Amino acid sequence: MAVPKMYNVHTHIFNFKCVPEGFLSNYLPRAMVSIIGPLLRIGPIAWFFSRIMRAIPVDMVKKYQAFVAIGIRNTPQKVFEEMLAAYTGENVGFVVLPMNFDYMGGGKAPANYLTQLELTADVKRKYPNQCFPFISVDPRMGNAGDILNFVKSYFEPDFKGFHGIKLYPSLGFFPFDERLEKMYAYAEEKQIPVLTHCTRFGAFYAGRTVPPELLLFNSFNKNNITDQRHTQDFYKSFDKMEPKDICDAFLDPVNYYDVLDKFPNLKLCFAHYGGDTEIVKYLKSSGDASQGDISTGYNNDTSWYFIIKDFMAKFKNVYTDISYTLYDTKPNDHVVDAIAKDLQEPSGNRILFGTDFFMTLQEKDERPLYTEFRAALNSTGSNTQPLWENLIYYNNKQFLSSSFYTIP
Amino acid sequence: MQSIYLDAAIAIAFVFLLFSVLAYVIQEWWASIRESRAKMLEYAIGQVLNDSLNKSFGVLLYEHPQIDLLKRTQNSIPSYIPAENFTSALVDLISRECIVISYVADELTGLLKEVTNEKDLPPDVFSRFAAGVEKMNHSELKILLQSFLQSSQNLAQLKPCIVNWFNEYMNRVTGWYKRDVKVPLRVIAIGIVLFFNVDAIYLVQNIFHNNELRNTLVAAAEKTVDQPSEINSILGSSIKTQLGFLDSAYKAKIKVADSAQQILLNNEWTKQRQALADSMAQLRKGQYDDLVKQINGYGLPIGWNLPVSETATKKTDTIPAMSAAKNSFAKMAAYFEYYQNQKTQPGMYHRTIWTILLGWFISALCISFGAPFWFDLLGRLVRLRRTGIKPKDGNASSDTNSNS
Repeated sequence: MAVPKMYNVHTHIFNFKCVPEGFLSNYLPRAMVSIIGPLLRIGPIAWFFSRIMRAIPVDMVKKYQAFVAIGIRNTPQKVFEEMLAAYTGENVGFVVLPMNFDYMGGGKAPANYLTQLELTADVKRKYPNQCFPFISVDPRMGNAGDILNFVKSYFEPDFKGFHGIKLYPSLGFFPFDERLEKMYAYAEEKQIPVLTHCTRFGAFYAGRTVPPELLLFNSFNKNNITDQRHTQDFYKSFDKMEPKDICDAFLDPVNYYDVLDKFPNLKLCFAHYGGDTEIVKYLKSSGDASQGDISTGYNNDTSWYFIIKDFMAKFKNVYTDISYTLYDTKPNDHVVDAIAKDLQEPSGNRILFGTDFFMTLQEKDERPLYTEFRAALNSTGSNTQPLWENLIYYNNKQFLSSSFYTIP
Repeated sequence: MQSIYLDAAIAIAFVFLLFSVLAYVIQEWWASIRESRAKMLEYAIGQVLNDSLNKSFGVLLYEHPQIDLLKRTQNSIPSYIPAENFTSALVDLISRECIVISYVADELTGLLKEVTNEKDLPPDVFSRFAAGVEKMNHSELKILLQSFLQSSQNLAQLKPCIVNWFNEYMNRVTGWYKRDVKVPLRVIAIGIVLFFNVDAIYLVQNIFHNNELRNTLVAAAEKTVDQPSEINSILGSSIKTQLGFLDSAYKAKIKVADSAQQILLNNEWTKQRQALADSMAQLRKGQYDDLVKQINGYGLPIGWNLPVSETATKKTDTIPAMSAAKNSFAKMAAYFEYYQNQKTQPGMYHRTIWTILLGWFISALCISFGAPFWFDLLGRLVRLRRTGIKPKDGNASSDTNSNS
């Protein structure tokens, strides 16, 4: 086994057994979920659906085909191996990100979160130097001590092969939750990488309404920047919004100011670079999207891409990844141009390569996803090879290394 | 004894027998393809082993090679899990709870190597199982596993204990399965009624007034009673019965086989079960086609292209608005509207939406009584019609009843 020279820091391998039916309500009308959900748990029916959907030449249908496609793979290992097959001929390490769906208000999955971790650990045993799983943490798992102990149990006294921590706030929590404080302190001390979902798209709280108690700003480090943010129009109109939109509040990168202000050396990666729509918004807006500063706060319309860049400039251990966002190679959007430019800036060594497999199957298959991005990156300048190598190897190596394991 | 009423009753019983047999065939075909027993089994195992306070051992059990290898294809799940396989997989899964897997980096390459604590663990499986149970969070599953431990001192005693529990539990699951299949029969009956537009009230009216139709049906009913083998061949080949025979045969073989042969036999058993289910699905499809052909052949007053009057018997002579309707719903609306506005014809009742709905309800209810009921009733009515004539095969109804 050779040492990987390419790392994909953002992939998922959980299958339908690991997700509650409510997860589907993030993507399909509820009435349809109650009919289709149980059927998709039956292998042959899921397979049949997948084939039919693949044959329908409508973009919207193709988008959902990816979710059906994972239903027909009966184990996370099969999903992992399918991803692996897209990188034939390359030696790649994959950061596998489990998700804790137990508290997302979507009912019970056949395989609870602990089981998802067990199934992921089985993949790690089979591919110890290609599978680099994280553990997913949700403050509703217990009190601050419970969460710290849960995280610690994967690193001490023995290193269990889980390399970092995944947060998915839109499932119903704020990242400044008091119950996460000890975990952040531990992660900062041990340089354990923390990766958080940060785009307006993806999974969100699956209940019909978001319970008010989830929307309380119980921060372990209250300060003016976030307090001011929470008085803006968006934060005051939750009662008029759908859960999907309310959950943007959980993802708002500004909320991490409370975390980084207290733990400035925390290795924190904002996934997706805020999303391609935020990059396009920043590039095409006349000025609103690039308003504000970490010391004065941001306005309602400031692009998340801009905020993440600002955080990266102020905090030396803040990273971002281009997962999912890399699908947007449309010349008119200039997303790849923006990434290429950012890679050459001082904070460019903290931009990470990731794809967000299998979520991206909605857009492209895995191989064309990264080869097309690579080609688009090539076309932005004459010597992009070093940028590419930083992106896929050196930056990721730096992010993934911790007190417990240094990536070779 | 000859009577128009008796003849009409025979004709009606015969029509409902045909539809009941059709419902049975559809139900059996569905059971063959949807692996309902397999899903029920997975649900039942999940109920006990998917423990919210610990891991979902039910899910993990299905990933265990002892169970995974029983699957015919990647997308299927086994319809039957031998108690021995279940026990081995469960003991292994719980025993693994006390194994700690960790990783260390190779000093030269930096690559990760797996390290386990297995050398620190007791060598015997029974002690590891006990340690695994001990490590679990307190839950109903833990209590169940502890009860196995309390009644055994070693692995040789533990395994039969779990096997017995699993067999008893499976007997209960079989009971759930039997209850579960009754619901689809009602659903299928409703489906047939809507698909064929079987209005019991309209049907009875027509049978009373149409001598030719009544005589045809009575003759066909007598033939069916005289030759019960045709119906018995359909009703007597229930997939559950067939699988039951297969299961008994393999259970007997496995009992006397050694452990290596047991694994082979288990795999062969699962394959045979699936092959049987596939062939039954094919058979049911053929029977369905034959029955529909037979039903259409009698010219029954069913379907959505009913003649507009008693005198018009050609199917082409249908409701004009229905022919013009763009979709099924519009067609149905035109159908209801036609009968709602139609004037009462001599000898025919006035059909309204409510009488049509009532007719459908009665039809669905009658079909859901099941084929054995209608076959038995038909036999009695035909014997009554032939008072003094001894039936040719007295065993017909009892044979059929045995399949209910």
